[in-house]
Amino acid sequence: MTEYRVTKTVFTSLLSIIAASVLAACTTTGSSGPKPTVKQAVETAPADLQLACSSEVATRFPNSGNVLPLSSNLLGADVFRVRITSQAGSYVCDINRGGVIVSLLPAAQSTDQLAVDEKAIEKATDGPVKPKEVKFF
Amino acid sequence: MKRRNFLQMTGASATLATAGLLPALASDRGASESLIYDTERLQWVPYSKRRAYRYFKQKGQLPKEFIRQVVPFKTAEAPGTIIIDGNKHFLYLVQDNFTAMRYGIGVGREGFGWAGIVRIGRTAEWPRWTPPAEMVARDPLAAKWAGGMPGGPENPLGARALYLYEGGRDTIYRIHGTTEPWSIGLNISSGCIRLTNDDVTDLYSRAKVGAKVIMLLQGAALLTGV
Repeated sequence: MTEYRVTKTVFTSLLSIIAASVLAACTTTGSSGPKPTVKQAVETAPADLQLACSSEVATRFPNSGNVLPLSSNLLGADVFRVRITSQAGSYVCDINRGGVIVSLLPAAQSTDQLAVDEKAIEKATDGPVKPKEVKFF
Repeated sequence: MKRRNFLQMTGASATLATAGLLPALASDRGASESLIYDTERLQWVPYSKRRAYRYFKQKGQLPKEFIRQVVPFKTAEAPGTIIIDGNKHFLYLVQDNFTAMRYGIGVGREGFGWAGIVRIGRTAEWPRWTPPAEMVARDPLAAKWAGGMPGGPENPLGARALYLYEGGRDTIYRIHGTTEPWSIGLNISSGCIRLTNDDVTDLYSRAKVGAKVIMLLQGAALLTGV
């Protein structure tokens, strides 16, 4: 009889633990729950940041004609690199998530400099990227 | 890339840009650049054609990101400008006070995407759809409508169409509605931009003929002479 009670107690305890585990698995607290439903496999720059770069090209190089962002990618945690084409040539623009243009250079004359900048920005990923040039917004 | 090259590259396939029947028959290839969170398997999975259809069927609506909404949008572009982010499957209509109306869209599948600066040349309610000759030749369904399919709920262009022009010429691309609302968020069309019928009707009521349209799509051929 005693053995039966012990077995029953153990069984009841196990059931409680299993039930608690199941409930815990079903419960999601604020930050751990799945919030977004869709995300992109490749993170391109938001459209407004891409256009901020093309707008800056048009401002700095008035004879550039039609200006269009061609591609972009995340460079470090906070900065996007946007490649821009225009009727006058190509440009590379680095802009942070806050809309601050970190650098803007004609692509043809900037290959070496861009490589240096890229390494510097990647290195600075742990800390905030400090704006060096134009504040667009 | 110059316009001539672009046209050569897309060739006959670009003429299928009236979308509609063709996307319905298209494969899933190139349609999985987005990921969607599977709440049953608790993991991110490709947002494929099959999964998009299942999501829409189960929930009766699109994922929240693709539902029409006003969002912050800081830009120097004038209100009324349309900006299309083909990678993220969003169409923005620039509004006052650094905001935009954002719509979910479906865009061209692999090899059918394009980028450029165009304008709205004209608009139409319940537009007529005429399949191009190439489609008529190979597709019995399209052949049925060789003379043009009247506008209506079964028409692949949906409730409204905004015809995109470049330099005064029809680009053959349109922003239009769809009979496949579940396909929003996919790379599925032949180059046209599709919205749900409800959204394209809303956009139609706000957009003006002559409005600038900026199409951004990474890796796509350039439509204009930029």
